Amino acid sequence: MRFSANLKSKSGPLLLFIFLVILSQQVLPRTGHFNWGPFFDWRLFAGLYHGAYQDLELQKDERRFFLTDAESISRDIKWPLWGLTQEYNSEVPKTVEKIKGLLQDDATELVRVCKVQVPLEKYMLLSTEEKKAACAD
Amino acid sequence: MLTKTFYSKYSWENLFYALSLFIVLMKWEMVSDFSKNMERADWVFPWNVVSISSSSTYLLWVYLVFAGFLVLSLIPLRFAPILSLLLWTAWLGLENSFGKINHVHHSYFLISLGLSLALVIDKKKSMDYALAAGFYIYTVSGIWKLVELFKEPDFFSALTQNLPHHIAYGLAENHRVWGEYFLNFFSQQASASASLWMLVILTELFVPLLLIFCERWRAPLLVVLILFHEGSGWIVGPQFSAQIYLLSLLVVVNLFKRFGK
Repeated sequence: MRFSANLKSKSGPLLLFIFLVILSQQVLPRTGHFNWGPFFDWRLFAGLYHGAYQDLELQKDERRFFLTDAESISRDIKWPLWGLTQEYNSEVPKTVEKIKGLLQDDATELVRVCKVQVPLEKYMLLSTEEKKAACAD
Repeated sequence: MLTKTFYSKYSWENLFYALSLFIVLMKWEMVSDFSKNMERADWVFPWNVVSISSSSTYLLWVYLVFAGFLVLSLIPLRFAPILSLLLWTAWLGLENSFGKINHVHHSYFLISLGLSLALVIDKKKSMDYALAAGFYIYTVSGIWKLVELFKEPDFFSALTQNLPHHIAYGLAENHRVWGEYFLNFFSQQASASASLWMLVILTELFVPLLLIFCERWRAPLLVVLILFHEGSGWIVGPQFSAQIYLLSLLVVVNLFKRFGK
């Protein structure tokens, strides 16, 4: 009785909650982590005013290509972060080259890439330069 | 007396707008990022009839957003939630306009969305709507983590084999002083890592729903989310300070219910 009364009084917020969850599952890219990015890119709004649809289409293509590649890279480095790697990859770079460059440059990512190759016990003893060199192979 | 005057003049929404102003001011250094990406800024100002430089356009937008939040934090207005929604849209647009996808401030936008809906539906339930809109994002994140977990062909062994290393690596990288301790702990106790991961998923899945239903437990549940963000920051690296400020404000507001009335 008490629960049903509570349910009734909270039905509005609950409906909003469920609506937003379903909307986000249906509409947004499935990157493993929730990602509002495309909706908040100012070009989307500017595009609506300007009619700059060509730019938006290009952007969509970039993003699709880019996510697919990010997924393949995640598989390559065999790092089942369940979304975190994909999210990381999808946040920063725009092209495959940039992703690869980033993986080479970024120390945190290097640890992940090198997971299979270098035991952490040894890795922790290396300097940053040595880490980069170790992971370059 | 002073407290009473304060409570009567300022609702929790005003505190939210004041925090919004603070968050936007904190990101002032973003303006320098804008200046590095000026060549892509010609579309920022849709009614750019007079030809002005892109950096001026950006600055104008930034000042407008600042001024907007300043006004909102000082004056209670009926249309404040809608103005807040527009300002957060503008801010996120500016913030993400050069290809960056940053979801640190999306809860602010979503809370503004919830407040705007509450304005139309039921203003007395502004906190309920704000929490429903602001934190459903966690549930979605939890759902996808769960989906990805079950997509693994042998997910339990993958979980126990890889996750300890991931947590150890993350902690060791971000906190070198304790690296060895974390490494030993998580590498040797795979079940601890797996339990931690499941706890993260469960927290993400259910805490937002509990926030809507369990009014009495809101403050502790929000503290759980603060700990969740602190823990994520420790392991993954990025700090979620804006989100933690927001959660802290909501903890205080829910501890002292009179703010919400």
